[in-house]
Amino acid sequence: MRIPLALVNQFLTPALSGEEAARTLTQRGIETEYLAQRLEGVVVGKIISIRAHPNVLRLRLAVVDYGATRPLEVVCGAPNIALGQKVPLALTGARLPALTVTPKKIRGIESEGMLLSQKEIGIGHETTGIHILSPEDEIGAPFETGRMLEVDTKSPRHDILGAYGLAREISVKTRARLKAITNPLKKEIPLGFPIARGSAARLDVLLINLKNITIPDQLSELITHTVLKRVHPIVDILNLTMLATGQSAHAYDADLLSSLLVKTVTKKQAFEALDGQQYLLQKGDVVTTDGHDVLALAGIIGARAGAVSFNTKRIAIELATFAPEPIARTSIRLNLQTASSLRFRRGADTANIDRALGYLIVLLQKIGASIEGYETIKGPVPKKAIPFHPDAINALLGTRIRESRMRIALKRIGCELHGRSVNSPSFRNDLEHSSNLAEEIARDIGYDAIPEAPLTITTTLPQQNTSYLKAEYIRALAIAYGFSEILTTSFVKIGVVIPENVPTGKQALRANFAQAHLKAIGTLLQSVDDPMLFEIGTIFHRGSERTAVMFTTTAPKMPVLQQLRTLLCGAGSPSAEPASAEFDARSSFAWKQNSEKISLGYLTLPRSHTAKNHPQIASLKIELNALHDPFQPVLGIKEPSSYPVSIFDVSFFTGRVLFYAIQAELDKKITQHVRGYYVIDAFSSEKGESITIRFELDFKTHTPTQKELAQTQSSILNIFRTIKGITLR
Amino acid sequence: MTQSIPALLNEIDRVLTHGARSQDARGLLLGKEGLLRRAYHQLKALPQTERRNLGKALHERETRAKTLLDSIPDITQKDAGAPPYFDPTFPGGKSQAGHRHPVGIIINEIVSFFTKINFQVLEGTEIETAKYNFDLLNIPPLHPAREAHDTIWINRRKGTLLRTHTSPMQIRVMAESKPPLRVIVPGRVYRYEAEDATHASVFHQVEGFVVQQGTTVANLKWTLHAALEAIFGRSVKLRFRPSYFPFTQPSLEVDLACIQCEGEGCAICKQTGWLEILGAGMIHPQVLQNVGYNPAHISGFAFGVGVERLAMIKYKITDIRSFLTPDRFVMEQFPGVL
Repeated sequence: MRIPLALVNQFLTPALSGEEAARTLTQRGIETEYLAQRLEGVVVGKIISIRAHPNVLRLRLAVVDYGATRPLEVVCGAPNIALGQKVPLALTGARLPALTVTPKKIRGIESEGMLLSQKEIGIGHETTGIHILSPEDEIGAPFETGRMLEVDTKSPRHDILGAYGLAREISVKTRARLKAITNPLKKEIPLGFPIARGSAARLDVLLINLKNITIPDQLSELITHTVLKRVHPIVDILNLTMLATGQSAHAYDADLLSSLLVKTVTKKQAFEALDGQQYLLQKGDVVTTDGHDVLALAGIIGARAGAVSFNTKRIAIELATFAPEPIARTSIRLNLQTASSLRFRRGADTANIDRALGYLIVLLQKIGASIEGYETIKGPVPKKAIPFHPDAINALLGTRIRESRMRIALKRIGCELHGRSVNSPSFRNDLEHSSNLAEEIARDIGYDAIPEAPLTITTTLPQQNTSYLKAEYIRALAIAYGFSEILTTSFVKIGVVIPENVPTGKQALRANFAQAHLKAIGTLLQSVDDPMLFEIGTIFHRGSERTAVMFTTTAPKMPVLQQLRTLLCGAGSPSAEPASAEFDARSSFAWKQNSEKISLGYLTLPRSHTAKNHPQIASLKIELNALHDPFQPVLGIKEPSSYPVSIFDVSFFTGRVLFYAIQAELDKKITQHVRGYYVIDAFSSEKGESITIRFELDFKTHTPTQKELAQTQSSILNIFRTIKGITLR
Repeated sequence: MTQSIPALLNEIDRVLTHGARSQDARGLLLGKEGLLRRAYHQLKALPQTERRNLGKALHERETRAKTLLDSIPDITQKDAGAPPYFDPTFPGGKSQAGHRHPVGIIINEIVSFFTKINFQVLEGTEIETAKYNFDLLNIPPLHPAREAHDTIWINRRKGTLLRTHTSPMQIRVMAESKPPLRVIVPGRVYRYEAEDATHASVFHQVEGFVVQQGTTVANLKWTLHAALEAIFGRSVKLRFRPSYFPFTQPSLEVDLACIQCEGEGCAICKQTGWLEILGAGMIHPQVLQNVGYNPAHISGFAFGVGVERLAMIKYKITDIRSFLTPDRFVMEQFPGVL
C-alpha cells in the first residue's frame, strides 16, 4: 500500500524526511520503503535575493542558495518567484525530461542554472510559474517527486492503513509531535430521511450541498499528487480522506435517496457495481440500501444506482464501521478487492470516524460545500481488558525490564493501565494476549536491547530420525561415486496429481524424475562427456508421496551405477528387494535402461512424517556420523571443503579424514613453542585398525629445553585425547 | 644455489629416516634430478681423498635407499590381497567426486548445527491440508495473510494444497508429542508466484522450533545468531527488528549485516547495508492452545528460513531460477565435500 509522504507529514511537527519515516516505521514492525523519483542534477534551492534584469523588463535575476559555498545567479522569467521561497534548481548538466541544462547567456547576462516549472519537471502542465516547494525542504537536497511510503500490509492492523495512523506510530518513536484532529460537528442536524446502522458498529451520514463549489489550486494539486484517479470532486476528497485517515467513506446522490439503511442480504440477488460488473449477492452479504435498491456492497464497492454524477446537487456521505468478517467473506468470494475492503476486513475503529469527519470537513469548507445535515448512530463499544503480568512478560522475553518501564511503553501506544489490567486504545483492537503486550514492550525497548541467552542443554538426546540421515548417506555415497546432485522442479507436463491452479506451462506434480532428468542430461551432454546425475526429492502418486532418489548417467558409466546399486541394496537381480538391513522392506531399487545411451536408477525411501515410531538403525547411524559430516563429529572442525578425495574406500577415507582433522587441529593449537610442523607421513597398519602419524616440529628456539619438549609433547597428545574413538598407543 | 655435498647428505638422511615411505621419495632420492644424482655430479670437482670418503658415503646411502624403496609396496599397481595402504602425501589430483547442490550444502550446514544442540530432523509431507498449513497456525480462512501466501491448491474444496511453508510440521509434531521439543524441518515449499530472479514457485525452507518451559526471546536470539555463524562459517552481525506473523508473538525479522560490504552499502544489499534473512518469533499463544498446550505454562520459539536465499547470499548467486537448472559451470563450483 502506498501513502504519500506529504499526507503523513501533515500530521507531524516537525516533518520527517522520507528515509527517516520509513526507517522509524520499519523499526516499529511496519515494514516500509521510501520511494521517490529524483531528477539528475536538480536540487532544492532557496531564493536569497532578486534584482531586475538590466536589459529586459520581463526578466529577473534570482540569487539561489543551494548549499554550496557560492550561490548561483539565475535568469528567470516567471512572475511568481519571491524572496525566501524554496524552488527546484537545475544545475548545469541537469537532465530534465525535455532538455539538458547548459550555461547560457540570456540577453547579455549569463544564467548559471534554471528554476523549473511543473511541466519542466514532468509532474504537471503548469508552465507560467516556478514550482514552489514546501519550506520544510532541505536546501541542497536532491529534488524529488512522487514521494511515497510503500507500507507492507501483511499485518492485520487496520490503524496503519492511513497516513494518520502511520504518523501516530512515528510519533511514538521520534521527536515529531502528532497533530490531534477532532470532529467539529457537536450537534446533529436532521437529514430528512431515515438511517439505520444494522450490523455496523457506527454509522454517520453527512449531507452536503454542492452549490457554488470551487476547488482551490493548492487542494487540486494535492489531490492530483495523492489520489490515483480523479473522478468527481467529492469522491476525490473522500479518497484523500481515506488515504489520510484510513477511514473509507461513500458518497450517494442525496436527491435519489429516500433512506439509508445497512442491511444483511437474506436472499440471492444481482448487483451492478460502479466498476460496471454484475455480481451475485448471497445470504449474509452486508449492503446499504434505501429499502428497495441495493446502493452499495458495504465497505467494498458502490452501486450504479444512487451513484453521484456531475449533475448531483446534494450528496450524502456515509462513514461507517462495518463488521470485518462479512466484508472479508464477500470480498474473497467475489474476488473483489478494493481500497475500502482492504481496510474494513481488518476491522475498523469507531473513534476514527470522528477523525475522518474532522479532516473531511476542513476540505469541504475549502471547496465551499455547505453542510445541511449530520446524523450519527453509535452501537455499544466493547472494552477488552488484557491481563498485565510484568513477570510473565519478562519470562517470555528473557529480560529484566522494570514494571515502570513497561508501563511507559504501553502508555506510549495509547494503552490505559488499571492496576494489573490493560485497556488497549480503540485503534488497536489487534491487541488481545499478554504476549501482545510483551511484543509492544519489546518493540519499545528494541530487540537489540534483549540479551542473548543460550538454550539450556537437554540431557536426553532425541531419537534421531533415520529417513533424513538415510538420504544423507545415499547423497554422500553418490557424490563419492562421482554423481553430481541436481534439483529439478516438482512441476512437469505429465503426472498423476494435478493441482487446481498452477503457474502457467506446468500442469502436474512429478510422478518420477525421468522427464526432468532426461532433459538435464541432454543439456549437460553438450559440455560434459558422461554426466552422472542424481536427485533426491519427493514424487507424487495419487494419495501418497514418497522420497525418491534418481541416478542418471550415460552408458559408459553404467558399471559405476551398478556398483553403487549393489552397495545400497545388496547383490541380486536388478528388480530384487534390497538385501541389506539398512533399508527396510518399503525401499526398492527399480532399474531402467532408458535407451542405449542413458541409464536411470531409481530408489524410494520411506518417509518420516512424525516424531514417533522411528526405530534407530544403529549400524547405519554410526556410518553416517563418519560420512555425513566427517569433521564435525570427531573434532568439531569447520573446514571440510578444500581436500578432494580421489579414491573412495571407507578405511582409506577415515584415515584421510582423521589426518586432515589432526592437521587442522595442530594448526590451531601448536603455537606456544613451535613455529611450524610438518607431517612426514601417516599410514594405516596392515589390518587398518590403527594409523601411525609422524611429525617433524620446528621449534622457535633452535634447541628446545626439556621442559618445552615435554609441554609440546603433552599438548599434542591432548589433542588426540579429545578425539573420540581413538586410543593412543 | 647448489647445495654442498654434506648438505645433500643430510637431506638424504632426513628423507631416509623420515620420509622414505612417502610416494615421491623414489624420485626425490634416485630420480634424474634427485638428491643422489646431484651429489654424484658435484663429486667430480673434489680432491681425490675427499672424493673417496664422500663417494663411499653416497654409495652406502644409495644401496640403503634402493633396499628401502623396494620394500615399499607399489600402490600404483592394484593388488587385491594387499592391505589398504594409506598415503596422505599422495597428490590429490583432480577430484572424481561428484558435485553437491548449493541448496543441499546449506541444508546440511543448518542440520549439522542443530543436531549438535539436540534437535530432531523431520520432513513432513509436501501435500498438506489447509487445516495444518493455515487454520491451526492461527491463519483462519478470512485472515489477510492467507491471500498473501499465494497458495497452489490441489483441491480447494477439500482443502488440500501444496504447503506454502514448512510450519505445518510445527502443528503436527506438537499435536502428537509432549514437550520438550526441538525440531527442524528442511523441505520443499510451493507458492503460486510469477517466477523472476528472486521469486520461485518451488523453493526450500528450514523450519525450526523449540517448545520447552521457560523458552525466551533471548534464547531465540542466541540460537539464530549461533546458527547463522555456523552456516556462514564466520562471525556475523545481526539486527533483530519487529515484524508480524500470524503464528508467532512477539514476531521478529532478522537482518544480516551485508557480508559483501559489512554494512557500508553495496549492490547486493541495495545500499542498505542489511540483508533480510529470516523470520522468527515466540509461538503464538493461540497456536499453543490449538494443539492443546497451556500457554501460561509453556512457551516456545519458531523460525523459518529460505534456503535459496541463504545460498544466494553465501555464494553470491543472483538468479533463484539457476538452482533448478542443472548447469555445468554452476555445478563445478560446488565440488563434492567428503
